[in-house]
Amino acid sequence: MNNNAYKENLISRRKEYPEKVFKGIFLLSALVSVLSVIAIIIFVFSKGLQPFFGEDAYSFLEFITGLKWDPGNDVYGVFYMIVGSLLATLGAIVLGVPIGLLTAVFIAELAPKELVAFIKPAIELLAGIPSVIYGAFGLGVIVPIINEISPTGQGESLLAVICVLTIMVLPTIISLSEASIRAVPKSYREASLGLGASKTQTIFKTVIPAARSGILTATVLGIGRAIGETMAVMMIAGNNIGGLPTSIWSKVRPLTTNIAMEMGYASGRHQDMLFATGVILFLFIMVINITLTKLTGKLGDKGRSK
Amino acid sequence: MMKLRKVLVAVLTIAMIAALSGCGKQDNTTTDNEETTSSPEATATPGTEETADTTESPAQDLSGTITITGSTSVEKPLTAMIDEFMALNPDVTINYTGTGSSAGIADTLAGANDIGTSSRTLKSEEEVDGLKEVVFAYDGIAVAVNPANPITDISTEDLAKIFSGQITNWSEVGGNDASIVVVSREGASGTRDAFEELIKLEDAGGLLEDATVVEGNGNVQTSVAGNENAIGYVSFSFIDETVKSINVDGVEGTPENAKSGVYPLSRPFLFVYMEDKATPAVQAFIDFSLSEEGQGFVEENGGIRID
Amino acid sequence: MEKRKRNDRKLKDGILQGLIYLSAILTVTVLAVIIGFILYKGLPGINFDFLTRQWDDRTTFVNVERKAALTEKNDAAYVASLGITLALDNENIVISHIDKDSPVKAALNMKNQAYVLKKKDIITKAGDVKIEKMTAEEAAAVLNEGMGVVRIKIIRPGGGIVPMLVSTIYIILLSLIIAAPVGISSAIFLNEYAKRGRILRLIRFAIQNLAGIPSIIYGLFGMLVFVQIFKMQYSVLAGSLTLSIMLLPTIISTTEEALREIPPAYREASFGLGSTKLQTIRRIILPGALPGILVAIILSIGRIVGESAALIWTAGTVAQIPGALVGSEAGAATLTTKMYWLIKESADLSTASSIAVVLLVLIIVLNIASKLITRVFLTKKGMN
Repeated sequence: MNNNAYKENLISRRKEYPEKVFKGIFLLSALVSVLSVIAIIIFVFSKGLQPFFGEDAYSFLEFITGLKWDPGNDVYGVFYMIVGSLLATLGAIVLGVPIGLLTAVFIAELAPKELVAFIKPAIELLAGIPSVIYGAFGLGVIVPIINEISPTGQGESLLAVICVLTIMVLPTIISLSEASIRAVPKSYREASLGLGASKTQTIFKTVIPAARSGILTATVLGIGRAIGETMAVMMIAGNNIGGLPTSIWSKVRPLTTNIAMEMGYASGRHQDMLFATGVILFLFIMVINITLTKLTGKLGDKGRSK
Repeated sequence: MMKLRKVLVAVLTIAMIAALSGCGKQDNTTTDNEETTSSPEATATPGTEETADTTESPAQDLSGTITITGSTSVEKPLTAMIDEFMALNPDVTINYTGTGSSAGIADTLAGANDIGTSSRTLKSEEEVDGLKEVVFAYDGIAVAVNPANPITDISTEDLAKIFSGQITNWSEVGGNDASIVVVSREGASGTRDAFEELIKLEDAGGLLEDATVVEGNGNVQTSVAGNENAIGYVSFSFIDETVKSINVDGVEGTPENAKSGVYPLSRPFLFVYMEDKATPAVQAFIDFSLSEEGQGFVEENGGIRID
Repeated sequence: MEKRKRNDRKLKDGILQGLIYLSAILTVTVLAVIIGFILYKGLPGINFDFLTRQWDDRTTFVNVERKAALTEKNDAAYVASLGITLALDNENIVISHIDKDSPVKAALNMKNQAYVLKKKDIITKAGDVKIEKMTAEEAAAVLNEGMGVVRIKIIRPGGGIVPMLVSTIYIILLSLIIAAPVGISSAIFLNEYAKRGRILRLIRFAIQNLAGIPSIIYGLFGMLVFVQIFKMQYSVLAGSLTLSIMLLPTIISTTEEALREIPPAYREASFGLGSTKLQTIRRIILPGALPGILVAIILSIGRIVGESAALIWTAGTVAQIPGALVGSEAGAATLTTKMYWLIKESADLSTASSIAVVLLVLIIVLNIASKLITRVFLTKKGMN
């Protein structure tokens, strides 16, 4: 072995070349991601912004503030979809974060080991279930239930979307929150318990605040998943062609389903407008990503300085 | 130093491209191999000429691939015909992808398919020189309601009013006192275009904004089957026991009535193709669809024969 | 006063604890209900045929050389000259039994290739006689008439998921062939070579962005670039290329984690022995990170299996075993996209659920596999 190393050292000059070649290959591979992002942005944006320029341009203001989507009559408004997407995401987060966080607390702090061994794989399974299956579940179970209780007599609604999205963001929120709760040093808990706090108080007053950066990250990732979800939502949203949602019983047409519904069919300006919808969606995702970068960076520093 | 780096980059790029293309080639051949081993009947055995008595066999040896895209409503009769045609002409491969009437016609105009299918008549801007349209069947659009709904008959005027939102309660058309749940199809669906045109929905103010919009005939069926107060429309071939088809203007939605023109909601199923680009196989398939045998498949699958 | 405070605290603790338990129960219940629903709807449809048949019914004309009566049987539904027994099944005339030396085993299709008839094949036409609406006995009588070659129209019933299974496997293999080398190389660069700075930040930002982009945007991009601009049509390659971009973040971050687990001391020792960086990577780092890389690949497979929005408009929804990488014969529906298509086009939630059952089994197997690999890896590390 030593002998070998010696020999290789001797011929290190000849070896230098492959070293550089491979470094180059590794670098190029790493740049593939950058190129992909750039390509996606260029192609989606250039096609999506096309209808707003040149002759016969469609007013961007009308597009972004419009309350009706009627391609047959050359009417493209996405404002009500933006509202629908945001409300659905908000609902899923408002329900999903507390439930997910408390479940994470249960797994990390309260549950006996045997139970954890059962619950954790279950949550991993929940994370792995394809969104089409969630859609089928929504269509077969949630929509009929809402059919019965809704004053409008219709199951496809904002509420149905929120229910399914809540279930879909749970695994993300649970697993990330759990990891950050577990990462809280034992000494924190001991100190709190030593000061006479109960176990529950320790959890809510000490552990959760200490784990807040992870929980926030989980929340933002959950928002990303909820706003980008397509297939599950498409089957249960109602996808009305216009009008702002007025209650949880209203139908919505999230941005994603607008794209997916008509993508296979559309051509010409109609197709460009679907890409324009994609641009809006992309902008939301960018905001979420930047928030995420800022969040992990900032809070991470804070945590260290403590 | 700079030079060296540039050379290095160039070499690397070439190496990457070579590696990538090598990859591509390799898996190309492996897939091909797997393909041939998994389905022996696909192997082209350059063998003896056919000697058996083949009274039905086509006059010429047809071969090639025909790509068909367009309306999803034509699927059932079309796939039955494709199936039979491919059995008769094993060297012809026909691929059908349901993309919607507008896309099918656009594909034909752009040269992206061999035959486009449409379940509505062509719009004036789609009628281009050299584009040939062939009616291979007629179809009725059934108005579907939930089986629990007592309503049995509706007029086209009322349909327009319901779908535009002027009538919102079933009691206004003689049904229960319950609000109507309108189910429609996604934009660019041929069925939706044809339906809206036939009931003159545009004159009534266009589709109700709050209508439920779903993708595909199947989803309309599911929505109507799952909601007592829903109303939707599907191609005749999609009516089954889960939904109820109601009379329109007092006429029952049967193939006979649609064919004779008494039933108001009927439309043609079209093939469109560029005449100068039609291969013998394309021509043979269209001839087959119009033949006695082809029309038999139309009838078996809920469509209406052209003759 | 003190006591009341303590009671208040107890009550508050109790409520909070109750909420914690409630949340955990709710989460598990939701999973149970989803799986229960899928099993309830889907299990009845799962059988041997479902797993082994083609999706579409397949019609074929075959020519069969009739032989002089081989064996006589006292069964009116037995076709002596062909050595088969017919039966009525769902109003179809099907082959219920085939003799060992039956000539239908040497049947030829219209291209003169062997097309061996099987049990359960439906016969609809013999020569020019339609036998669809006959009884088995009448049909047998028709088939028994005459000598020499008879032309039979055969429908091999479909309803199985074989094409989707094969397509799914093709797409998994292709996507991984493209994405795994790039992803693993990226991770090596990020962990072993990259120095803090603008490039590193740019790459990390890009990867994070890729991870955040919803699959419908990948679908839009793939359809525009691969299907339309590169003219690949709906094809396995267009679908795989789209997916391989989507998989990069998963592969990179999982591999990087595995690389980070390798103690710096290993690298130092290797350098100390005179190895170059590349040798160290090849002999020390990659073998050490292998379990992590395997987990990355398994996670990717899970994602491919579950993906729909990025595949429907790049690989299409045709149920066929793709015959090429690109072009009109290359369209390929995976299990998941077909499941969606079934709900959309034929309102068939039951068959869709049967496919969902298969998907669930696949995902459970993948989850277990990744667990096992991690466990083996951990015990190995413990031994070291």
